Amino acid sequence: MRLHPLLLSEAYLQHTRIRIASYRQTFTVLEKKRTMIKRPYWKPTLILLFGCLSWASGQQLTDLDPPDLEGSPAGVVAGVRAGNVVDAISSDPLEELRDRQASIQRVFKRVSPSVVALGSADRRKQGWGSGVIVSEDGLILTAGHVTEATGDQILVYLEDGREMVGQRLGANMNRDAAMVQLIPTNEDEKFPYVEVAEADTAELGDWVVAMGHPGGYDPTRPAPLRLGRVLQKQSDKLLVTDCTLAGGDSGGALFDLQGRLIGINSSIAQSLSHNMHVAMAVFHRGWDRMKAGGENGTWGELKNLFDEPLPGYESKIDKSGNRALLGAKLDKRSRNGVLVRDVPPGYPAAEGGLRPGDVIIGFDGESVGDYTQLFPLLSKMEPGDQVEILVSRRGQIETVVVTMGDRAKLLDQQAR
Amino acid sequence: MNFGLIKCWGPVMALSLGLSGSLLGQVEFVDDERPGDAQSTFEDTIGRYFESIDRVRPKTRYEKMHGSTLREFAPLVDRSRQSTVKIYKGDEVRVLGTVVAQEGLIITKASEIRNNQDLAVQLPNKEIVPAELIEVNEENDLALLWVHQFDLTPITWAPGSDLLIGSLLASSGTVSLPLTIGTVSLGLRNLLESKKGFLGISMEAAKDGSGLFVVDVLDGTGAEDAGLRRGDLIQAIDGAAMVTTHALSNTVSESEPGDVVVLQVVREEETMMVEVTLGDKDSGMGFQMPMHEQLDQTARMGGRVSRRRSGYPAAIQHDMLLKPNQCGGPLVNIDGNAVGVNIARASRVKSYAIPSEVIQEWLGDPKELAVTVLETRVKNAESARLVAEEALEEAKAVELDVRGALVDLEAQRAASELRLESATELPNGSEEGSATEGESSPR
Repeated sequence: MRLHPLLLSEAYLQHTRIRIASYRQTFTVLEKKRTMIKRPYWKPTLILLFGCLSWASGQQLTDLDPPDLEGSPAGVVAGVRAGNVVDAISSDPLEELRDRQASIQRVFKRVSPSVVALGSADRRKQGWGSGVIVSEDGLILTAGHVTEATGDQILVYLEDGREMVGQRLGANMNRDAAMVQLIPTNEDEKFPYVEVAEADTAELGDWVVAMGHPGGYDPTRPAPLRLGRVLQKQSDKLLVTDCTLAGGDSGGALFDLQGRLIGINSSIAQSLSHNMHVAMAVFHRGWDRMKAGGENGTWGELKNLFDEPLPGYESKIDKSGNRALLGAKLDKRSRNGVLVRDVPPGYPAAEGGLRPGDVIIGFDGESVGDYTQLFPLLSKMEPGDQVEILVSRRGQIETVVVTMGDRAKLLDQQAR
Repeated sequence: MNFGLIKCWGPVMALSLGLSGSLLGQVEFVDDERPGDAQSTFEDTIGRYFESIDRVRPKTRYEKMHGSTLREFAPLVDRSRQSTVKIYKGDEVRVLGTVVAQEGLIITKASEIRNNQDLAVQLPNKEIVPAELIEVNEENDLALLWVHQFDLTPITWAPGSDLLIGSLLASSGTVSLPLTIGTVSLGLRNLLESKKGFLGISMEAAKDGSGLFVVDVLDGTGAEDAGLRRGDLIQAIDGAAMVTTHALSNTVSESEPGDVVVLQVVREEETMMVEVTLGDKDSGMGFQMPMHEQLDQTARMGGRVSRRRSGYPAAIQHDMLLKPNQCGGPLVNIDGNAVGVNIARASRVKSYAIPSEVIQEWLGDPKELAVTVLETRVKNAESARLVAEEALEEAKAVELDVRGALVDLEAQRAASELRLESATELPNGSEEGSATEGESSPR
């Protein structure tokens, strides 16, 4: 039951709630349309007018939004002046498709040996998942719920049929990201690995391919390839694509057409277009901490993966489930840094060593001038995230590392 | 799917999918109802539910199934859609078909049209004509149909078979946009269900990596017959060391029922070799892996699957989002040539197609096939003409016969009328009596 978190987890229930809400919305709209039709004859005229307006504005929007146009904008403009130019440009209307096909075939060839299947070495824990090797010495990226299901000792099935042993490293469970270290059988063993993309390189509409082992490892085939597009980016943490995934694909890889790893398969919703992948920014942010493993290497809870409703839905997301808390009283009007007024004991700020009188000038690698700059950085944090805070203390610049707390839990404790 | 059925499945679905009851009331199962189809399964019901979700949700830009994406792929199906037909049973499109010869020959997915006496085919020009089932290829689930048409456009098969993983594909329907687009997920696969061997034990890996401990021996299996006991330590099969349970189950299931394997077993510090005859996994106990069942459940998320979706000796696995009634149509590559015919929607992540070589090998030369089929039709027509001619002769004879009898009867009536007239000319005394006679004579 654990390989596929959406079926049981809070995230899934949350999603069900979204879906119900969106159903209600759809049906309310339909109901409204129905009643509108029943109204006196002059009403439809107004509706028609309104329809024209929205159509016109829609047209404008498409004009402002060129990425869907084929070829270069210059070519399109030239084409308006002289038809034969367009003919010259689009002599093979399938040229773009052919290029794309060549890229997909190339990507599959390059990355296929690095996509692995993961199983539990412990018979009582029957879990299957996937993973992808990202370094020569066998570091594997996978999904948090996969390593949670397999336990510490993991069997790794390579594309060439080898069965090897891996060791569980850390995980950011808030975001369903995890790492596994392959244990080489001899010292100078080198593994086939893929290139990891920088954070947030994927763009909406990009063509992408997903790989993994749906239904578990099958020695008769490599990981099947699936094609889709990036439909949504939820901040830089989650990608939604229509590369269809199923149980067993979890922890598998999402590649762009340059063959770079841009996501790790995480979960699905009922629609064929709702396949969720952990974005690379999540791994980059927690890389060292996850790789170090140990007690500090695993943090957070798999509660709510969504920051926004899924494509095609409109309802609001309740994010109160996993909001983080710093636990310091800040001066919201101060300039040239944010003054810490008070640090109540028992809260993360105090435990991390933040003191009253400190002036926060940097947060999570970003410089901070005033509270309006700090707030968005703070609200990005999730419970268990470790953040480096740069403070100016008695003229000295110091770094304080704070582990963010769980807002709901801490405030609940406080109330008691 | 009638509504009563939905209501009765309602609680089950609510439990298994975590849905709220109020939601179920709003879901409608309206499309392609199959009256009299007793085989509507729970699986179908679930599939229809998932499809209904995708219908309510508007498609957003960039989705593979959004018009803007499909339009880019439209040139691929320009030619093949002229060779795609819809096959009807009653008012419902049961499945698609692919024209393989100009002289009215069409292939389709056999298991979807089985037991259908009155098949009809909608041609690319929208005309609906009756179709005749000529032949079924059970192994590949293909059927050959004939319609009384001589000017259909046959499909162009792709030359050669080098279909690389990652090649772009489109499934053609009867309209200008493709039904769906995707890519080759895996090369040719053999999907024949080979029987898997079965040992009959449950086991646990030894902590020191020395082998696998037998935890339980199932009754009536090869392991029991060979005398394996709880607590035995299996170190190797046929000389290959076994350290993990996965390794052992892989080795065993790669063997076939009836194979004999030699286990190296340590019992009470004594090493022995034990011969075990493997059994049949299906006839063996319910040795089930709950996790795999769970994985299957997610594979169903997203819509219905075809009833027959396995057992093909060679199939292309691709990722196009087909519906079961969209199988049977051509699958084209970037050049617009058909590389195969869609044969099954198998799960959320995969569909299968029978490759063009297999089809061409089955059908042979389309012209020759058409000659064979048409010759049979001619013979049938000839014998029908002979039967009809015989019947005509017979009818002629009957007609002559009856006509003769009719003439005789006419003559008799005329004669009796003559007699009657002469009777009325008799003397007055018998007038009353003759009147009575005249009234009763027509009886």
